[in-house]
Amino acid sequence: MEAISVQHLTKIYRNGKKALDDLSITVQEGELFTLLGQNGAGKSTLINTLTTFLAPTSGSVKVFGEDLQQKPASVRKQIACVAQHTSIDNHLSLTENMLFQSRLHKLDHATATKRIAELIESFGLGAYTQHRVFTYSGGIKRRLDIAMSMVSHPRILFLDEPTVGLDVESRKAVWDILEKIRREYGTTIFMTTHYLEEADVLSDTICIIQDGHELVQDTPKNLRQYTRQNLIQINLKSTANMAWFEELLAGSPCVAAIQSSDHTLVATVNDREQGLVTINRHLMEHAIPYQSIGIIEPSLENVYLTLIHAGK
Amino acid sequence: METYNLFWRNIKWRFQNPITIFLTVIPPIFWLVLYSTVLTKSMGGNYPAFILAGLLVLVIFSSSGSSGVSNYASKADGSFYRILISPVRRSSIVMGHVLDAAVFSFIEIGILLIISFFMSVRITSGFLGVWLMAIQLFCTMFFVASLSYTLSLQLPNENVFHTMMNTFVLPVFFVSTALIPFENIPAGFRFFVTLNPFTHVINSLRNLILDAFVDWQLFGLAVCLMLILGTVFFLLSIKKLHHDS
Repeated sequence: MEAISVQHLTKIYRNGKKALDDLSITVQEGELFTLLGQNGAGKSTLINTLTTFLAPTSGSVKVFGEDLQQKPASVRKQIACVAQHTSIDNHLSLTENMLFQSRLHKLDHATATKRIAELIESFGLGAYTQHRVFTYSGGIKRRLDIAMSMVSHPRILFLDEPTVGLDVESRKAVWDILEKIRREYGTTIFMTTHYLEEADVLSDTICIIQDGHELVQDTPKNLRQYTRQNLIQINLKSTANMAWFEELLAGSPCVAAIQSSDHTLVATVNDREQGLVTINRHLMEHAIPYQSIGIIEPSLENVYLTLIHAGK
Repeated sequence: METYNLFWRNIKWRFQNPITIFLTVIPPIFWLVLYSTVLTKSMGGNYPAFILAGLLVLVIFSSSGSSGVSNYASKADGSFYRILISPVRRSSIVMGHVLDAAVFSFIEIGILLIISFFMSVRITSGFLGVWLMAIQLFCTMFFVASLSYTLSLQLPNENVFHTMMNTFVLPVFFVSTALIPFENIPAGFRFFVTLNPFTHVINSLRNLILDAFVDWQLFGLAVCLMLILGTVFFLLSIKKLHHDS
């Protein structure tokens, strides 16, 4: 079943800025959908529109078959959103924050108390219930933010860059929580992120948008095929001859482009087998010491940059 | 239930920040003490009792009138967004704000009444008068808090909001019968004073404070004016919330 169906969505702000431009995407129930795009691509505008905060200029949005503009109140019952900046009330305790959220969604006290206890346990927040909320670290605040959003058991959870500004450990904790939400609650997750690795690890579907319009929507695996790049990676033993060798390969007719980092060179070639043979021959002829050479699959970063570049 | 929830959240903040109550009540207390001391001889009679009606309205201006500022903090910390995308009725959001402003204003009014009691002010119309004053004051708070909330949705930031309030509050206060009886106001100004809805509120409150009888016509006019204006701005803010979300 389609959780979200967006068709030809356009949003033009009063100042004339077109934030969304004929955007069409589909999110299936139960999947983790990630929206990737540069700053100003329209990610936050899309989340604000899908969560009923902004009204679209034109186009249609359906959430579980219900029209967003005709039945906003009904849609609001089925969603929750973890905004880019944590939206916790510092003057309320952890439990009070969750109680407030449960009452916003009209839960009775017994149900709310049960769910709050479950979420505190599940999200590892038990140790923090006695502390003042404003003393929490960014990671704990983010965990509480997500826990608050889950208290109504939403069918769709929106997360706008949920791990931005968090350290590696806190980011991993949020990833674990998102996995748990999918596994234990079956919630559809719609997320925006700047971190390609995050999108790659967590997502069932990734959509890349630019200038308010979708460039592509597919699984991370299928997305890699969009680049059709033939990449050969060479790990050198030292950087002594690296610059010279890079220059040599750049002048080779079979090499279309070359990138370098640390001891590694990645050459984009026109033909994989031919390129592998040619580069190997160069290494042997010039006695360049190397650790390994091989054909590699493009990373999501390669896909992202290729598509964004093609979009321009 | 949902209005109570929003009211509960707001009031929790209010009682954790009591300074917001005491700071805004200082100017009216200052006016009460200073003007009563300076003008009692020249104005004659019980001037603190005369001036109290206007100062009660001034308290509402400073408390309910400034209540919209909290909306900017809510927008900045994200709770405004969280509330707006929840299935809460927009009217409950505004009513939660009005009730918080009302509690805030009534606490300040209580402080002012206690101080004026020690300055020999009595509510001459008795127990009924106290109840009617409470109704009158609540209707005024309803209008001022709704206006303040509407402005907070319309104006871009706190600075513009404060500038707007400061620009209009004192002129509205002075172009009324707050400090001078209507008959002492120059004829050229009387039209504007009559046009000011708060003049009628002040006159009604003054009647309840100074007179043993209730001028029901005055009371009805003031309550109706505040309810009509309050409803207009209450509905405007709901419309604005619908428009924003």
